[in-house]
Amino acid sequence: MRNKAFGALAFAAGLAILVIALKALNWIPLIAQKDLMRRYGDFEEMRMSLGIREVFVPSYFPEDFRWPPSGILAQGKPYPAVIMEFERSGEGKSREVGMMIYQAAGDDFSPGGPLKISRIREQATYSLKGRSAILEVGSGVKGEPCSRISWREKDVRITVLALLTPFELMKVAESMLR
Amino acid sequence: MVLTRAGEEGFHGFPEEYPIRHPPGSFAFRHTRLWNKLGAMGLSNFFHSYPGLCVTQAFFHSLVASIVAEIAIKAWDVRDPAIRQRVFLVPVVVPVFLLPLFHLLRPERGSTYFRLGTIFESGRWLELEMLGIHPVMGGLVLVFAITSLVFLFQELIPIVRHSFESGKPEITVGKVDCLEDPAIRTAMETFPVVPAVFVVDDDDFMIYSTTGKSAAVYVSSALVATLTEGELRSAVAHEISHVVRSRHPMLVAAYLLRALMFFNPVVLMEFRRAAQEEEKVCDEFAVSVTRDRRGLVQALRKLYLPLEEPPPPDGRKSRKSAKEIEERSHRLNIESRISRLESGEDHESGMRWLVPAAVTVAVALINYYIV
Repeated sequence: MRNKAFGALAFAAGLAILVIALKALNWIPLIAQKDLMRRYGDFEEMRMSLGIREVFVPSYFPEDFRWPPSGILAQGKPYPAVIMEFERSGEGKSREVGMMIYQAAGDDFSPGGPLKISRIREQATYSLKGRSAILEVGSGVKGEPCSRISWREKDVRITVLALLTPFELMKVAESMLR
Repeated sequence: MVLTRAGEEGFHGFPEEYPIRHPPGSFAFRHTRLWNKLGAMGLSNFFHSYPGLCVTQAFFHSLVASIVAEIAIKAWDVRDPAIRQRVFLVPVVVPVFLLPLFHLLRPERGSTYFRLGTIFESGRWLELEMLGIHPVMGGLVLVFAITSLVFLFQELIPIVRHSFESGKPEITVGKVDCLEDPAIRTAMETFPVVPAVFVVDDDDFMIYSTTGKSAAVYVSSALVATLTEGELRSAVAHEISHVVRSRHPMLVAAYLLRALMFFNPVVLMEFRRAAQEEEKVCDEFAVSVTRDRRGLVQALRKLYLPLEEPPPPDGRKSRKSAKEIEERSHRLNIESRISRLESGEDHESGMRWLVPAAVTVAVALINYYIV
């Protein structure tokens, strides 16, 4: 019995060392290669690392959201992609990510993350200043209104996902276009 | 840096993916660029496709499972061959089910955010680029290709050939009746199959069994003449246990799953380790039937450990051929079996399922965070 308990302890210690070693191995490529997906403090830092020269941003922000984004994630490989997170900052509202804007050169880019539409009630094709966009309307994890709009802009696909009504979301998306 | 609205002047899009190393427009530039793109895109596309994802993750999952299995063997000092075999089979069997199970539990497992929070993300290593090539991607493809060839030539073709040949009857000159001993007869009554034992006219020492419908054990006449009655009985009991265990559903399933992972070098290695433990499990089985540990030890010595040839007189070290290395490895394996039989190590009945279960749970938990 004592041997079994000691064995279990040794096993747990061995697993802990393995996890630490794997974490260290996971970190090495980030040093060797600058263009892997990671968090950036600001756009300038991202530009210096990846050379992504242009990021599409809205000029209109609904109440509770404001510039600059609370989080920026970006990668250069396998294709360039940028994710911007915007926290809700209104009084009495918890500081959680309420809007995500991402642009990627790959059509299959699906970042997942803190925001998701748990139930899509309606999906429609919508003309967004001459671009063909897909608008999805549904609800978030807590049942609040959640919408997503996505369109192709030259060589990137832009997606805006937010805990907003479709009307507010469209205003955000339209403010990104000329 | 330009934070812009789409449609405005000056949009340049994303930077070029591959660096320029030759003057633009030159033949070398176009040629190198084309090959770099084709090679990198081909490999990259494969590793980003669902089959590529399955292959890569199965490899990393079995690698981690193999390390976890080794930690468990050392931590609990597992010596029972039956338990060791089960532990070695975890890296062979479990990774086949992990990826579909994980996708069922969490469909967004491949998303950027999930990958960022993992313990190990294989994509980071695969995307590493040096001098215009992806060394990890290329290395993995090479390893998978070599392993597939090893599986084809060392396992699949010999098995297919064996199944065709096992249908042909051997030229036998006699039959050994192992059931003379009442104790063995009683023990064998519990077996699902009792193969016939035939003597083959041959001057070499050999004993082997065939499985399938016409399962039988074949012993060479030279071996029959050399072994004592007890030794022969032990050797035959060992072969019979191979026949009996070849119908074990868990082992059959393990082999089929192993064949599914034909490209995986970790699975190849772990399956071979499990197969080595099979010999020790059959030794235990033979001893439990015959109750003659010494008989099996002597039979193994006579059969596999002839006196070693003396080293060359000038004392120079000759280069070892692959065959010599293989023979040496085989000899070490036999010596380990003999040493185990002589020490008479008991079964660790309390850990029969504990260690494999602990390894399986640890492998599933850690691998969930390996993408």
